[in-house]
Amino acid sequence: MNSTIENTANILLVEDNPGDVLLTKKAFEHMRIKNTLHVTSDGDDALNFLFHRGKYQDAPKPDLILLDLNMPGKDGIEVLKEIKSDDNIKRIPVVIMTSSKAEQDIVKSYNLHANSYIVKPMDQTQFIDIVNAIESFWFYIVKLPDI
Amino acid sequence: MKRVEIESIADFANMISHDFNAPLRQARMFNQFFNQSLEFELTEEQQSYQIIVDSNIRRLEGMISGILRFSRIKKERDLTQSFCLNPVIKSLLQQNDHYFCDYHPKFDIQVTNQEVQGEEPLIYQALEEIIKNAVFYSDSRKEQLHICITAEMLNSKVYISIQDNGLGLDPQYHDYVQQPFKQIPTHCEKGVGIGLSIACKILDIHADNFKFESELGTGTKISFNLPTNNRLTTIKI
Repeated sequence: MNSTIENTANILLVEDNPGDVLLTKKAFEHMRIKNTLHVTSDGDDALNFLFHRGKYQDAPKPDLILLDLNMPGKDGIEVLKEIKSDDNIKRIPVVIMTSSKAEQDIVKSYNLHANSYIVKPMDQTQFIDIVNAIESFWFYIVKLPDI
Repeated sequence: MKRVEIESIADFANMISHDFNAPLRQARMFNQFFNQSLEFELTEEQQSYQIIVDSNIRRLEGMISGILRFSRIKKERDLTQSFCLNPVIKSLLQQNDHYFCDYHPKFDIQVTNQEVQGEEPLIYQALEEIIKNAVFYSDSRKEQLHICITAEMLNSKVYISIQDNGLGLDPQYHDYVQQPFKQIPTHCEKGVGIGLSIACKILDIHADNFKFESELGTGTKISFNLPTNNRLTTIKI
């Protein structure tokens, strides 16, 4: 990772529900690393962000992507497919964040190389624990490639 | 996005439960934030309203998860599979030990090594709901909670019964409580009232002669039987 500890971590949140966006923002305030949460509310917008299209020409490359599955238009699975088939962005860790516990969704996600799958918690304390775990794992413990 | 084909009640239940979870999650969490931001300004009575809101939301979550489990019960009976009851009961008690230990139940288990015909996960689920009820609806006035689990072989059938010395239930309510989410005021401390319905639904389809016997103050006995394939399994318990 490009010296994220000194700089700001850029996290892309792909989520259509404004309430869930707000909950995620509040949970990520508990992250110790300085971070910017970029939000796109549908699949097409997320891909525009990642491919620097239109208004996203100068968008930073995210260090982590949080991806909801059920969205109108292009859904999470289709976005995941496109991310993992592009040489430039396929190495960015994708954490699926969804309310679905369905086995078929979990299998589909991992088949398409999602890096992990998290079911959205129902309780704020749990959400904070999850954010702390994400931070420890993806920003401290694991090694990510520099590009 | 492809239109999702709904092929069964289970698919439908899957779909709605997911859509219900989003507003429930937000209601619960924003209620928590609201409570935290007003922590020092609320009267005791107002704080109790917060608790009522939160517990109702949790109840809704439990009911949705109950609907999902209920709708997933297979409607076709499969007699091509067989399994042994002893490891099922042992595993069930181990998995639920942390739930049960506060009630200090004494289990008396006399189960034949005879293999029974049926689907193990379904019978496990039914037994789990029945035994959970036996523990949770125990009578705190009685000295010791006894739960007797027997399975005896007779004439190519295994007769299974789970008997407890818990609260018991007046006969006028027997049919009522077997319906989903129906509880009576004196017997609704735990859960949302779906456990017995799930056990009944499973045993009505996947077992024979399901019987629910109960008397207020005495306890409850649930029995059913399963066919055998006349194979004995040597199990070390």
